[in-house]
Amino acid sequence: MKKLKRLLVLSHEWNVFLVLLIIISISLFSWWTVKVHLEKEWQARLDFEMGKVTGVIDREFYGYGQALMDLKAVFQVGGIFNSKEFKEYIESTQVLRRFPGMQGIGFAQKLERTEFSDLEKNMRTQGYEDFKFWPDSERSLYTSITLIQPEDWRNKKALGFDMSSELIRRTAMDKSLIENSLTISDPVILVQEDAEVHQRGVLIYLPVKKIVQAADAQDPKDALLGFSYAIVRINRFFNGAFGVPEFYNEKINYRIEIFDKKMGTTIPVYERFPSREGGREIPEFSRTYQAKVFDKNWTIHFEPLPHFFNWYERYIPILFAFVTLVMLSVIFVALWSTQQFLKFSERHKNSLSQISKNKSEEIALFRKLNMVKADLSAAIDGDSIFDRFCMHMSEVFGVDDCVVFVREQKGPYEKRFQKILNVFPDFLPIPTEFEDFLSEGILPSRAQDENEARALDLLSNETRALLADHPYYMVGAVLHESGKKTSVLVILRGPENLCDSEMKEYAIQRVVGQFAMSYDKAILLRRAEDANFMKSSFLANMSHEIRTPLGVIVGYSEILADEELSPQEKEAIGKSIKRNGKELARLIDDILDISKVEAGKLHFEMAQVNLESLIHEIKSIMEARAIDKKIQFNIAKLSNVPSYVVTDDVRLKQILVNIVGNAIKFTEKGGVKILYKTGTNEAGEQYLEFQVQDTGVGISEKGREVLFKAFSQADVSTTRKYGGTGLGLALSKRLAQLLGGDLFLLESSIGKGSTFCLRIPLKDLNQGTMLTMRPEVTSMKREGLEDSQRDIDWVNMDLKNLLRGTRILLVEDSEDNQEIFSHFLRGAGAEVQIAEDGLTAVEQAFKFNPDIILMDIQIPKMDGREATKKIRQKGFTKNIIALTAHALHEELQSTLEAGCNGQITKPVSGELLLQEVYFYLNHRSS
Amino acid sequence: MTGIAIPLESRVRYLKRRQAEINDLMDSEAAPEVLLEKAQKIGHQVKGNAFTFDFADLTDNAKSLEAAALKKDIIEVLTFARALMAQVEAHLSTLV
Repeated sequence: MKKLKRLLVLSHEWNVFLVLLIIISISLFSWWTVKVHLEKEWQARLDFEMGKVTGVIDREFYGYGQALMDLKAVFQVGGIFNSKEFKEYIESTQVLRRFPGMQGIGFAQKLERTEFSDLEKNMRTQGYEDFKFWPDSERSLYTSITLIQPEDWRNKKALGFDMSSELIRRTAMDKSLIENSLTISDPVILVQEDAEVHQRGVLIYLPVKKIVQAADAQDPKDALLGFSYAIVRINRFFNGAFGVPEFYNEKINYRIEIFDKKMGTTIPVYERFPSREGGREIPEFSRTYQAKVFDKNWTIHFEPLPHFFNWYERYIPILFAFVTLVMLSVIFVALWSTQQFLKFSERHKNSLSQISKNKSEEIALFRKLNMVKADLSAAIDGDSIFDRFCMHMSEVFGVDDCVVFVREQKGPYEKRFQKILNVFPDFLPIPTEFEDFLSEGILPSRAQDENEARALDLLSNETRALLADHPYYMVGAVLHESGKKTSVLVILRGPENLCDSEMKEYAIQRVVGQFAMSYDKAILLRRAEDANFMKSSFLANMSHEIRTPLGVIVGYSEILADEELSPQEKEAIGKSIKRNGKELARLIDDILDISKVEAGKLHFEMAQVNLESLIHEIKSIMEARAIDKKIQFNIAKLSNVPSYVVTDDVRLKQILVNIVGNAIKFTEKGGVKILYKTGTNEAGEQYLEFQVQDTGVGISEKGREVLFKAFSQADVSTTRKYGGTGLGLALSKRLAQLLGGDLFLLESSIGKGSTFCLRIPLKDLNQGTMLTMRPEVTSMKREGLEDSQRDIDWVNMDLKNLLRGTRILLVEDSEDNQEIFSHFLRGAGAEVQIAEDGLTAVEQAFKFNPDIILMDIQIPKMDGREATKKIRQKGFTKNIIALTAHALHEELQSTLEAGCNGQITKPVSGELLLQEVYFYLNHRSS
Repeated sequence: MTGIAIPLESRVRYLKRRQAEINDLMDSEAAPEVLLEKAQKIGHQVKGNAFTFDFADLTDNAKSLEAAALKKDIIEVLTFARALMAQVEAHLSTLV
């Protein structure tokens, strides 16, 4: 195999042509071999055909000679017949029938010149009236045809003719006489022929002599009686022996000639298919045969006719050669292609093996890439992602160090992770346009091409100086998954050949992309965890926040029960209860509002609002608090502000109370200022701006990040120190945004204070529209409740007659609760019916016909929600209030959906229970 | 606003019922599942209405009792049940 390969590979181009030559030679040889074989076949076939022709000629002429010899013997023995005897003899021998090619057989009697008249007389006596010897001239020998058979009109014409008068005949006769044997003449025009159609014939002579002693024979003419002869008309002979020539039914053509030695010419005898043109070419394939006919040598030329060949035989050699050529050509082409391939392989041996090696490496790299991506995507913590990233970059790509910068939105690139590399500053000043180059691929610090150099020019001199120390590579990734654009820049310190293949470059980009994605997800996860933690913290805070005013209210309420209190004490207690009640209501407002904001169910009523009046109201509320804290409180108008604006006054007031309340809460000394003015934004839209400045504790960098997030305060210690749920700012910001404006922290400094900025769009009065969304029954009712709570003067209420005449169905399974609730309710003048389970409740709702139903949720047989649904389905339209142990939004929502109008959360004091029932009865008509 | 006082007898009845229930719980020879169920019920009930009967101090132990029952920790259940019983008895001794 190696030898063959070397032979093929190392041979020169001319070898190809040698092979081609061999192929052509083999094709020619095959053609020649087949041709020779065929020609042999044709020769044998021609020999067979020739044999048939010469055999017939031999047989016929032998028969003619035999007939003449028989006649000679009869005449020698029995004397010359008269015509009648001759006719009988010929008929008895049936010679004419046996040899149909013979025109006739006859006898020419020898005469002396003196015997002409006697012969004529004798012949006339035998019935030949017109018999005459002819032609009459001087010659050495006279003969006259006296007998001839058959005596047809044609042969009769020859009677009396002296054949020795004509040269060709006499030559044959002389030769026959001298040699005393059968001779054949050259072709002659027969005397039997008419003038129009000359048919040539040949004559066969045999001398008939008297039987004499040999010694007496001096001159052959002396003993000569005459010549027996046979007439052969040539065309008749061949037509009779071989049939009429039919070109397309015969396989061969033949031409018979006689060579005249004396004259040196060739005399044609017969041609089976004469050529129409004189100079016909002798066919390539022909044979010549010498046939002995008596004393003459006939030369017979044989040549095949088209019918001699089978139709396909002519094409076999060329076909064979063609097939051989095609097959060998195919083999040649295959070999040639192999040779070319081997030559190519030989020439590019090194590069092909390099490609193969590279491919293997790329496949291995691709597999590793998948593994690395899977590993990175499995990590959920930022630091562990970076550790894994560094490990993989080192193991797979030989990167010895890396640093990661992250830019959020349009901020600076901030260093987030570094392995050992500490030469880069915490913030990298990189322009936004630089990211366009990063998105195109990996950017090496030692840039080669013009494009990369242009990218590096965008960097500051300091950054470029840092990057010039080592071969660094910069890879970028941009993410939008966390809802904002996050750009990640990874700087790798690696070998010079880090990006020597597209596959490696691609793999590095993919790994960096996966790292960035995993990191982003980790951030999201951390935020979700933080949010969850904040919510849990909020729930804990809420519990505390609610309990505090509640505890005060409950405690003072109990004290009020003591009738020994002085009116001043009662008034002070009443105020305290009122303030704590309001605080509690505000807290609940916040909780409900933030729930509604989150659920997208908050409603706004845009209307014309008197701004001065609103500012005055805020001032009156906040001033008292500021006085309590012994700090200053001022409001200042900084520009021409319209007297009326179109907005939702309740929400605007809520926001301002919130941020001003916060400012007062976090300010221990100094004061709080509200500055308000109008302005125009970039889009040319006018806005109304409130700046709330305080000289409080200020907000740290970290605190600013979570400032407007629900359920979070700047830090947990804030909650402990200042209280609050952390809902205020989140709610206020959302409300400001829903009003079409925004709330943001303008500036803040730890220990010096903060400035919050509230902006709302300044709409033309004419454009003021009611933005009330579709009426939500429950929400609307809640709004009504909240308003009512603000308006009721609890201090002056008489609880003992609060529910006088009211029919209340208390659905409660706990014996204790039945007792204490009914005690409270009856104490307030209500008529109470108790139902212990859901089924009884449904029944009593229509039997007792209450004004209000207090429905415990966890009751036997049918729970409170189901019972409420049944009652509603049966047409009960009055208030049903749920008694639940949970104040969660979900719990409230499920009871509202079941058909309750509201809920009272247990544990509940007697006073609170009565207040709630009273509110629902008086302010929440069904 | 004049408050509505809670009748003494109601408060006493409340305490006595709790006392009976906790005694029943501690003396019970029932299966642990039944015991835990009873403990959870007592805890939940006291948590929900002790404040209403002006026994807010019972709430914490009631919550713990309920939580222990949910955790199926019988030792803790008995511990908090005893603590609750001590509080109930202390209130009873004051009121009666």
